[in-house]
Amino acid sequence: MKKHGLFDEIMPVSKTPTSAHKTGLWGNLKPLYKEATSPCRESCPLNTDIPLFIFHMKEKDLKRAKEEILLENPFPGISGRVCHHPCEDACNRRELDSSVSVRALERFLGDYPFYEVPVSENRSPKKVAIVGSGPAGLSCAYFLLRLGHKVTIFEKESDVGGLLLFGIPPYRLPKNVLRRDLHVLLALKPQIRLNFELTGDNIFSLLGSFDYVFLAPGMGESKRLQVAGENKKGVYYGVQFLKEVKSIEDEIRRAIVIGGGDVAMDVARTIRRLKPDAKVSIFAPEKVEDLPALRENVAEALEEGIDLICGYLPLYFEGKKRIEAVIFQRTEVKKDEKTGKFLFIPLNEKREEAADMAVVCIGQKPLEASKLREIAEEEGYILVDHRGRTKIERIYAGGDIIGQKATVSLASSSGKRAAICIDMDAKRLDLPLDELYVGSKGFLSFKKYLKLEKKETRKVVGFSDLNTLPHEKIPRVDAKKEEPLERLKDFREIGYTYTKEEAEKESDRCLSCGQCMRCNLCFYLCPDVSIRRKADGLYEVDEDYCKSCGVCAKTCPSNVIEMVEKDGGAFIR
Amino acid sequence: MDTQDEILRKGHYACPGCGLAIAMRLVLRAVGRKAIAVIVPSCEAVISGTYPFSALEVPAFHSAFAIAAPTAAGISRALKIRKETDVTVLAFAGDGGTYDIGLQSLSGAAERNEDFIYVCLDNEAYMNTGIQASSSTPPLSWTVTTPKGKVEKKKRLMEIIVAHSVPYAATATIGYPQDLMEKVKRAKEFQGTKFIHVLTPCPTGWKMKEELTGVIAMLAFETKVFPLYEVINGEIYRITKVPKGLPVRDYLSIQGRFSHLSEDEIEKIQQEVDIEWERLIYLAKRHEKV
Ligand SMILES: Cc1cc2nc3c(=O)[nH]c(=O)nc-3n(C[C@H](O)[C@H](O)[C@H](O)COP(=O)(O)OP(=O)(O)OC[C@H]3O[C@@H](n4cnc5c(N)ncnc54)[C@H](O)[C@@H]3O)c2cc1C
Ligand SMILES: Cc1ncc(C[n+]2csc(CCOP(=O)(O)OP(=O)(O)O)c2C)c(N)n1
Ligand code: SF4
Ligand code: SF4
Ligand code: SF4
Ligand SMILES: [Mg+2]
Repeated sequence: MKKHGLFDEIMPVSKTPTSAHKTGLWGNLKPLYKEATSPCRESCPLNTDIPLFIFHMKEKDLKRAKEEILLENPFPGISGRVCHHPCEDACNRRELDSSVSVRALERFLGDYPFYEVPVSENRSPKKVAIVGSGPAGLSCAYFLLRLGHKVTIFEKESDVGGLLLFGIPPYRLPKNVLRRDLHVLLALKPQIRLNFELTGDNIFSLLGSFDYVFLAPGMGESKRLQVAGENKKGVYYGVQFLKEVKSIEDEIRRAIVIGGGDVAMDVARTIRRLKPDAKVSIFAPEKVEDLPALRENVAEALEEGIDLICGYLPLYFEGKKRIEAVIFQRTEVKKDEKTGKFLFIPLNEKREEAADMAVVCIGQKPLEASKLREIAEEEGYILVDHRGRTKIERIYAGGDIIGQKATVSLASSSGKRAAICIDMDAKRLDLPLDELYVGSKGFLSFKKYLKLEKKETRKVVGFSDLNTLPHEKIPRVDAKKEEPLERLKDFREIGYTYTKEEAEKESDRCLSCGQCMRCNLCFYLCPDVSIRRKADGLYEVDEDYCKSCGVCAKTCPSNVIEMVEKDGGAFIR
Repeated sequence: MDTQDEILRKGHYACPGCGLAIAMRLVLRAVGRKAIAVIVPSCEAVISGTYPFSALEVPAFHSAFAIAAPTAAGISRALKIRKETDVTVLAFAGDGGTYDIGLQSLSGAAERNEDFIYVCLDNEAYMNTGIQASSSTPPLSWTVTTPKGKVEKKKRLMEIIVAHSVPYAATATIGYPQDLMEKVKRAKEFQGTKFIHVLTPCPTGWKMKEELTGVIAMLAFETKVFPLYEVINGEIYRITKVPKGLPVRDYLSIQGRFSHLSEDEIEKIQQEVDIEWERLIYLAKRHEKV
């Protein structure tokens, strides 16, 4: 050994680096970095990779965050306002304090001015006709165009949007937000034919000039109560009321809205705005906790001074020409455990409520006029299989018309499904659908279809999989809302988008389930210096020195690391 | 960037999952390359390397068990004479080497306010010789010399150090690497004796799964068993991170060294931990008013 000056004369000096010992031979396991699925994403009908876009937000890269959202969700500004947010219901953070306000973050990004998406090259594009321009039709168009197909949208009204345009009122979804979100789609250049109503007959002529047809006519007609007095003056129906009624007669003092869904809430809230001096009450058959309307919609209705009376269904309307009262019967709603359907059981108790106006909002059904008889079931619904195919070849369908729960995100999701399945059919791709699922809820991922997905999509990370010790309780950031009295003055949007600071604060609350947040704990806590940070911010393991302790995997707050066999196979131990 | 900051080498002989190796690694990263380390008999000596191997990319001087502090003081003075004032001298010693056999010599060096950073790597027993109890071993803990559980309390070492009015003293644990490294960097800014007490979980001696090292360090803090604080000039106490106050059971129940505890004993430990925490709050508050 080489001598080292004076020291070596008086004492031994160690000069051989310990790296000569391949201590990795002590163990046969090594960490594998494998990001997996968060429960929020699994529950999102659009499969948005929520922790990933939030990660980009945490890194202050809003453009990448928006790109990530647009990959799966064509209208983040819209869903960021009205989505029923099953993601939040599934959020792991609920077990720590309260769910992450995913929808508000989505809205923040929806409003971020970046509206470009890439289009895949397609050498043999197909021509697809889309009937109906609600979220289902528009979403199907968006994904087909991104796959390089040619799309023509047929809409019977004079503008696109469906219920986004004439259903959900502007105080929850302003028209300029709809227009702004549509930038992305319109830039992809779909053909749009307005004032075109498809009828049972011309569906086949469409098949002559298009390779595929996607039907998404929604459910434009309100269900009738089928009770006495329903034809009297003063009785209106939900969707038609929202679409057509722009003012309310002076003499109206007392309005009753019948139903417990979003339509009932929005009708009541619209009447409050059109006529602030009238008393507005909602009578719903369901119990408060079972109301089908969005929680926020109910809460805001109450804030705006609307009465909510639960547990009643109308028996008949009283009055001469115009109604003067509604007679209700107390009702119990029970869920049939087998079918999942709700049963209404009348109880022996009546109640009379004076009213000079009533709006029936007990659900929608397919439009009578444009009932697509050739293809629809008795009640007008169109049945589809798990690929969105109807019983007629080359015809697909989605949205409310297929009988799913009527929500914007489920409608968009079914449009995405049809777009992917049409593309697969066009390319004669025989891919089992479950290869495109993320988690087990059966929603298709566009990212996976484009083979851009890097995460493990079978494994869903639960709360108990996380090391939550590094996380503190942090109160949820609620976006500001207009004061209730101010709101009644007009139809302006009542909720505000997060400020940048609010968005940053709320994104910090995300536990980043299954998503590496570069906290570096694995890196710092490796006793054997075997984890290296790469230039791209990810990590690399040195098997030659990793002793398989598993500290990195166990400490990771996001459950990103799994211990697996080393490539060399089993050693001693 | 990372390989450049890394001073502890791979291939050292610590047990898998060793918390002490993590602590040495983090302390060395925070101190940087302009450093000389003093190593005394203990697991740290095994990690640092047996002749002719070295795991440290800075000079390390292997000294005797009882004299980590005076050895560091000597090196520090020699460097001053040679006007090499930008070199940090680090003394590493285990809990046995600090709480017990090295206490007298540490006290002397601290009294003279010799200029070095002393890092006590506390794994709560004499681990390198086979898990014998030290005065740092927590009460009721199993070791080979306390087969029915230790009777004595854990010595309040920090208060002994603080009684020397050293410029900087702090507690840290590998569960919070940023906090640990920040404290080491802060220590570098002071002249005189700096003391950092690091809790370094030991899977072998604590009889727990190797993978738990990081999590147990976090639990030690969150259950208030091992609070994180610093003391400036032997006077001003500052709690650097507020624990959640999880039940001590969460910490005790995953360690084999506590597996013999009865419910009453766990409750007793909880009470003692709460009393110690109140005491720390009192010390921290007392100086807030000054
Ligand atoms: C008042 C109200 C509030 C709501 N609030 C919410 C909410 O907060 N959150 C939520 O998730 N969901 C809400 N919904 C439900 C949601 O709007 C619907 O589920 C969703 O819009 C359905 O989308 P769709 O594309 O299937 O149909 P629609 O949005 O109904 O669009 C169908 C389109 O097809 C057109 N069309 C119909 N027939 C033909 C034809 N024969 N030829 C050509 N065009 C045709 C229609 O004019 C319409 O433009 C609300 C609904 C209403 C009415
Ligand atoms: C004067 C002297 N007495 C005893 C020993 C034997 N010895 C070597 S390491 C060790 C245990 C050290 O315990 P601790 O300081 O807590 O360090 P750990 O091994 O736990 O890290 C002992 C007793 C020695 N080397 N020198
Ligand atoms: S904490 Fe974040 S990643 Fe985890 S479920 Fe909630 S929103 Fe999704
Ligand atoms: S912490 Fe280091 S030694 Fe332990 S398993 Fe992970 S990479 Fe291997
Ligand atoms: S410990 Fe932190 S940095 Fe390492 S994989 Fe987990 S989240 Fe990523
Ligand atoms: Mg020890």
